[in-house]
Amino acid sequence: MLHSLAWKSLLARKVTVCLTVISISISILVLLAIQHIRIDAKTNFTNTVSGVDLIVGARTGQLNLLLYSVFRIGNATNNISWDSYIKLSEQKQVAWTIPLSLGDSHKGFRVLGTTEAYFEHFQYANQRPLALSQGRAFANTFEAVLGRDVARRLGYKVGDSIILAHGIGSKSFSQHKHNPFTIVGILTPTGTPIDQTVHVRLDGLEAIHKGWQSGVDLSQHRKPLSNQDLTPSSITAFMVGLNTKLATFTFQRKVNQFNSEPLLAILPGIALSELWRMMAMFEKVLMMISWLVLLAALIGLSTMMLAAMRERRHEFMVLRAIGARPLFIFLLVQVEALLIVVFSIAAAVLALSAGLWLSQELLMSTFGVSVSPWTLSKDVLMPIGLTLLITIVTSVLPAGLAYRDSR
Amino acid sequence: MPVSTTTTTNANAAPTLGVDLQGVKFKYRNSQQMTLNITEWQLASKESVFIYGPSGSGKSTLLGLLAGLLVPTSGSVKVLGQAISHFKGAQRDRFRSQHIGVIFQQFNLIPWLSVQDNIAAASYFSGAKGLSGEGLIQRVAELLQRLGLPLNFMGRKTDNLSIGQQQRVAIARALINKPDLIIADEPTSALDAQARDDFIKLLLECAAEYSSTLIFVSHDKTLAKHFNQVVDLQALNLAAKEGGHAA
Repeated sequence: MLHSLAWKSLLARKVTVCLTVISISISILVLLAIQHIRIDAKTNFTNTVSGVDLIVGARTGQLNLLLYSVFRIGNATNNISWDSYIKLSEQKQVAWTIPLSLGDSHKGFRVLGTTEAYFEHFQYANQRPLALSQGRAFANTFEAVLGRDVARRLGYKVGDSIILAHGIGSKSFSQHKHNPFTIVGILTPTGTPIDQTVHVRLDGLEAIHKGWQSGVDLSQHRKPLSNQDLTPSSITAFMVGLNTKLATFTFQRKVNQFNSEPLLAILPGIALSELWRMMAMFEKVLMMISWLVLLAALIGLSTMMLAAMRERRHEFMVLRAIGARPLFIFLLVQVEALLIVVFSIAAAVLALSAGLWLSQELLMSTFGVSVSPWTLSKDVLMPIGLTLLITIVTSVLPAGLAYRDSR
Repeated sequence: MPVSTTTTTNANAAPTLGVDLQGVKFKYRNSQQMTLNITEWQLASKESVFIYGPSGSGKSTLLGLLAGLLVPTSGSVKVLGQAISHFKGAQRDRFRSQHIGVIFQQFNLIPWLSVQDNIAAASYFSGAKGLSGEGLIQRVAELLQRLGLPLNFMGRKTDNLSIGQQQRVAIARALINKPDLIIADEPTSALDAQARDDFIKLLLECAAEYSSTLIFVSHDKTLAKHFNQVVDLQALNLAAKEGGHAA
């Protein structure tokens, strides 16, 4: 009876109720979206690199090194000389290394110069190795392997040829146009910045820069000779896999105290969590704002109920006259408020799922985050529960007033 | 008449009193003056009485006390032999829903409920006496027919009805639980003269059919002709006589 009365009473005030439902569901939508994306982003974030013991770069901040080597954000302050790289990679604790050379781009996508070791040793998520959805890994100087998004966005397939641009702007005027690369493989999606990377060999990068000085092409457009030495003079950074985890700190100290040039070795896991802590600040502020917005909407609900009290006096009187207890009237108002919020939650969850489902592609390609459209996980149950609780608390005012008036 | 579900019936008094007021005084919480002060007033069961009371004579207060919506500051209110003034809140609500039918001046019905739902709600709150499902619909249909309302009114929202129709639905709602006492508070004030007389006749007939006690309050003295018992509330209410309570 209570529920059917509450339901019919809401139906009688369709317009106000609908507007209230919309305003509350928007705030719940924001809250749930932030909560959901934050959790998915965190998983994504920690998934970017796995199975790498140390990342070594020129001496800089730990976050800076992490950002440019793993997330392709920002630039290296300095390079590592090839000699230092060879010297360190020949240490007995080292199982493998992946050299990384950054600085060029293709239509806004970063180009990463590396070696075959990249496909062999690099792992993401829970120790998942890279896999090719089409073609093969590069084996020759002018061959390239594309991340999934690069191929999709630019519509490339295996066999196409591409020209790299000098520098990292999306509109670069200095193109390495005389040395095109052939696409030989496309990677499966990883949900990491790898999807937005063009991978080429180190000697390929070296070849296209032969004769360039300070970013200017002085080569007279010569094709590099096949017998030319294409060993680079420097690289941006390198990833290290050690024979035993126990050697991690010893090797890190060795790198940090390296004599010939100032270097820095970081543990990716520690750097990632430090970066996440910084992001967490921002995320906490966002969460707080969304809670405040929701609170405002729920107070709005209670205002709407309060405003209706005057005109509803008669109906409460009638209910009392036919034997309804004051508690019944209190509960009637409470149930109405809860019904409104339950509908708002349902609308918000549906809208969020639909929105994420539709924007899945876009999020993946623009931000490289994969977000699942299924929003009703246990992580959103807490905010939903809390929302209902706040509703009960804020509706005590109109319900209490109705109770007092009908006594 | 049988007071079927009441827990204690007045056994010693041979003809059960419909209403028995003893030294009833009532003062509103935030008011200095007494609104109602009745030394003694009794009404036999199954009687119909017209209480004449101009505005400010305390008639709404009296009806509130009789319906158990208000509790006297002192004294006792007995309805059908039961001292409802000494009942707990929930007990009074239950007693009201089972034994008393109330008809107000206006706004008798919940506007967002259909005619049928309005009447059914009264049946719901009476609990034990409440009907359900088919039986209830049957009973609502009978009542509508008795009150001269077409059956297709059942599903209509009450705010689509004329005031006269609404007041008749209010009688149906008051009668659904076969009440022992019907309290009518100026139910005809919004009706024209012809509708007024018809309404009172109908109400009296129904009260007789259900052997209910009927208390009809109005400021309109001309209605007194329909009743064989007439009470002037101003004479009864000592608080009003002192002229303390202004309109």
